[in-house]
Amino acid sequence: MATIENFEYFEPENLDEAVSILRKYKGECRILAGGTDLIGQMKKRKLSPKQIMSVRKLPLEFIKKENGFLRIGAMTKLRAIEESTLIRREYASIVEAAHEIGSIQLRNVGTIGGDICSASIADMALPLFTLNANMVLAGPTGNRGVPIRDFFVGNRQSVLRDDELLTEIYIGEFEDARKVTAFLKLCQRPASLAVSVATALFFKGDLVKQCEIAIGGVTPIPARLMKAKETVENKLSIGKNSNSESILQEVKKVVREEVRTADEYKKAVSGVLVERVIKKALERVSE
Amino acid sequence: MIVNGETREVDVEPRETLLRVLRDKLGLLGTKESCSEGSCGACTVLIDGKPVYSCLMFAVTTVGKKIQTIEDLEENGKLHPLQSKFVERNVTQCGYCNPGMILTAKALLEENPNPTVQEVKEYLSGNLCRCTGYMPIVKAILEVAKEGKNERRI
Repeated sequence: MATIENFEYFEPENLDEAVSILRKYKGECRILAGGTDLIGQMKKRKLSPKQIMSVRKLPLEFIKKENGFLRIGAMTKLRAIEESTLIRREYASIVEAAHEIGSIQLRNVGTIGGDICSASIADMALPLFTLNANMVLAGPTGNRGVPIRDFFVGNRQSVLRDDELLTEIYIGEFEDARKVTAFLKLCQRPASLAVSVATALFFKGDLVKQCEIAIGGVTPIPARLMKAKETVENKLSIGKNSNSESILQEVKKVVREEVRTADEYKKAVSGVLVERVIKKALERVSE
Repeated sequence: MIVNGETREVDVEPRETLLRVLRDKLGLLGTKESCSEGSCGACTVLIDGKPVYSCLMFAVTTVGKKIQTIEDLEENGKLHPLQSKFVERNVTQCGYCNPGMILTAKALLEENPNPTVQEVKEYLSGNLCRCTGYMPIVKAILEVAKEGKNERRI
C-alpha cells in the first residue's frame, strides 16, 4: 500500500495569507488544488513536500463574463468547465478539452489551475494557447499577468515563482471576427502516447483571416504550429469556392515536418489530428 | 466530517486519504481500495452528490462536505433500486467494483434520469470491473432508469 510521508498542512482563507505562507516556505510548500496529480505523485514518492497548502478556501472557483473578458478561476473544476454553457457558446474547444481529461471522478475534483500548473500534459492549455489567454499570478508584490504562451518552460516547469500562485485565467474579446474553435485528442494508453490539438479560426467573410493551432503531447511543453498557421491564414476559404480540401492536405504535410519530434508515429498522428481538428472547427461555421 | 448524514469527529493526520479514514477510522468497509491511484474506481464515494476517488483526496480537505458511501444507500432495510437490480440481474461476479459502480450510477441517474447506453458507458468509464462483466452492469442501470420514470426514489 502506498504510504505518504507526513507534512504540515495549511488552509489559508485569503490570498494574502496564502502568499505569505508560500513566501515563508520558499519552494518547500506545494499548492494543493484538486490533488489528483499531487497525491498521485506523493504516493509514488516522486514528491514528498514538507508543507502543503490547500487553496480550497480561496474564492477562486468561478466562470464569468466581465467587460468582454471571459474569466475562469483557477480552482474551477474541470467538470464545471465541461458543463458551462457560457464557455461552450463561445469557445467549444475549452469545453472539449475539459471533457477529454480523465474520468468523471477526476473531473469532479481536478481543477483548471491544477491541470495547467502541474505543467505535465496540460491539455487545458491548448485551447487557451489558441485564444491567447492570460494568466493572473498573485505574489508578494501583487498580481502579474503572464500570457499562457509564455508560461511553460519545460516538463513540469513553468514561470510560476516559488511564492506565487495562479488565481485566474482570462480571455480577451475578439473584435468583430466570426470565430470557431475545436479540440481533439487521440487517447492512448500509456498516456505518454496521447496527442492533443486545439484550433481557433477567425473569419473575414469566407476567408480564414487568422488561424491558431496548438499541440500537446509531442514536445515537453505545449507548442504553437506556426508553419501550419501560415498554410491556412489568408488562404483557406469556405463557401461556394472552398479550397479547404487541398489546403488541409497541405497542412497535414506541413505539420509532419514541423512537429519537433523524432517519433515517426507522433509525426504522422499530429498531421492527421491537425487536419481533423480544423475540419471539425469548419463544420461549426454554420452552427 | 459529515458522513452518511451524520457529523463524525475523527482525529486525522493531514496525509491520510479519505479512503483510509473511511475504512480504518470509521469502519466503513464498503468503500474498497484497489489501484489506489485514481484509475479503477473501487474507492468511489459521493461528495456533495458527485462521484470522486477517495484514494486521491486528503480527508482534511473534505471537512464540511457531505460524504456518502455505499452503506448509506439502504433505507429502512430496503435496498436502493440500483442495489436490488444488481442482485436481481445477477450482475455481481467478484463484487469488488460494485460499491463504486453503484454510487457512480446513482450520480448519473440523478443528473440524467434517462441516459443512453453510450452515456452510461461514458459516465462509468472511471469504474473498472476486473471480471469484465460490463454489459450486465450497463443493462441493470438502464433498467433502473426505465423503471424510475414511474417510481422515483433517490
